[in-house]
Amino acid sequence: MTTPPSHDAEVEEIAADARRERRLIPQALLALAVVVVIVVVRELLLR
Amino acid sequence: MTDLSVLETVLVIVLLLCVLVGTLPVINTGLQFLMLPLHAFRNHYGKAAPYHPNVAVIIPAWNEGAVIGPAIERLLQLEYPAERLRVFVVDDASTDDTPAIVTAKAQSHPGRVVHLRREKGGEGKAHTLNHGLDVVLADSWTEAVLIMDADVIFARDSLRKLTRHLADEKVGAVTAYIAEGSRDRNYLTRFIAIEYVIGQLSARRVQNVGGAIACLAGGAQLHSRANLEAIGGRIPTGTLAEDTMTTFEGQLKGRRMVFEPHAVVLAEEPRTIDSLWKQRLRWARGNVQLTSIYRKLWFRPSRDHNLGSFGFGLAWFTILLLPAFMLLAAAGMLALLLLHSDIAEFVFRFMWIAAACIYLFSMLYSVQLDPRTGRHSWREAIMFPGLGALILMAIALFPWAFESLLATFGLGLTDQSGFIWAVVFYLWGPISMLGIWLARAVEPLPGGRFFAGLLLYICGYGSLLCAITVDSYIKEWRRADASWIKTEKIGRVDS
Repeated sequence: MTTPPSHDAEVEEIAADARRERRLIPQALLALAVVVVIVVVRELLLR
Repeated sequence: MTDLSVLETVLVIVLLLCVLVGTLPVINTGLQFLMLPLHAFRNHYGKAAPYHPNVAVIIPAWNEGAVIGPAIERLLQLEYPAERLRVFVVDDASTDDTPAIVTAKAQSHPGRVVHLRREKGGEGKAHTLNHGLDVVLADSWTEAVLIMDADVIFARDSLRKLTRHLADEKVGAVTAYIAEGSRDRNYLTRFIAIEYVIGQLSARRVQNVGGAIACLAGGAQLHSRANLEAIGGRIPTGTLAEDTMTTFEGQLKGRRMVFEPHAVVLAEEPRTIDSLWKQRLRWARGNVQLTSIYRKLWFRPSRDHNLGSFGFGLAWFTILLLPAFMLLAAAGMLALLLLHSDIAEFVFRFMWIAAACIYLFSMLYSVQLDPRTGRHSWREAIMFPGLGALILMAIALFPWAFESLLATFGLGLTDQSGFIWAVVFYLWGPISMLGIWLARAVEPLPGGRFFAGLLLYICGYGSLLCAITVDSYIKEWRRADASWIKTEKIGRVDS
């Protein structure tokens, strides 16, 4: 199978990949939230 | 805390600056991952469009009989107009069955697969590529050139995902995400898989944001014809980092380079520390050479390109000088310990708590960037800094737990034992590098692979890269033989 998708399908694919890049934000927030929780737990244990 | 004299105060400030400079690599990693979300908005998708130029694929091959057949077949199956794709295998005087395999493919696919034979080989990858470039650029049919390695396997949509960026004439070249793709992974290939997520899916996206790409992956780089002609139609020779130099030259000519994270190319990576060492030594020595070649470029902003920006220079030098920074931080900490142990302890805690936060953030982020790699290499993601560094992070975060653990074993902290522990902790960076040198030394011995792996998990993958960089300094200083050493590939990637 060497036939590329139609022009419209490729345009949609580019838009879909651009939307996938937006996931970088919630992924960062999730990672940051875990770090914040660990730091907060540490501070609570220090008291 | 005792009062310090003026001289001691000045000395402490100098040492603190040394430690701060020494922690630049950690700071740079943190900044890299903090900037990563910006790629959601600052990317090239807005200017990308469906575009299928005539692509000449150049595959340099020396004794690639085990991998070249599947690589060609996979290229011919790409979702790309068949009449717009031609494969040129530049056979660098192979002595195995590479010529026979490529000749058979050329006969099966006339006009689509071409066998170019060099009778005198062994001059290096750049010379081999130039042989192919001379042929494909002489033909006006060629509108773009894909340079790839013989062992990589392209995802079916990957070439399309690269060419769409060339619809923007300002783009000179596009590179793909090279993912570790061996079907029978070992501990080392899993570490490499995580390294590639950090070094490509994170770092190269950030380079997209900053508008300066450090290196188009040698295994998958698509150039526009105009870009290649702008740099003289040839890949620069005389350096061990020809792909990085090509990347720089294109940008210096004012062309934009793009990293496409959704174009995935699978590659087979080294399975032993020794073979990884040889591969990375070549890369590291190439980077040392380029740092000198482009010495008038660093930290000098230009309107034509972003290679001289502060951010790009910081990222480049924190990698190049990683071992020097590590030694500087260790020496600074040791001197602080001797001068004022309270300050040293405070700095130690601050440094390692910061390192722990950045490590957690970057690893939790990384495993989300490539969930497939995250699933099969999560242990190596956890162990990436090494067990030693993880323990130091835990001690910095929860010091009372360390003290009570010692007390449990009847090893309560005294002034003397505290000093000894502090020396070990502060010198962990250099110690871990020595551990990696030991791992490479024991690897070929009976049972050595187990101990080499154990040492890598203890000392960390970063220390391995650090030790290789030290070796590159030594080899460049001694002007050691810089001949091209091919990384052995035997076809472990499923096509």
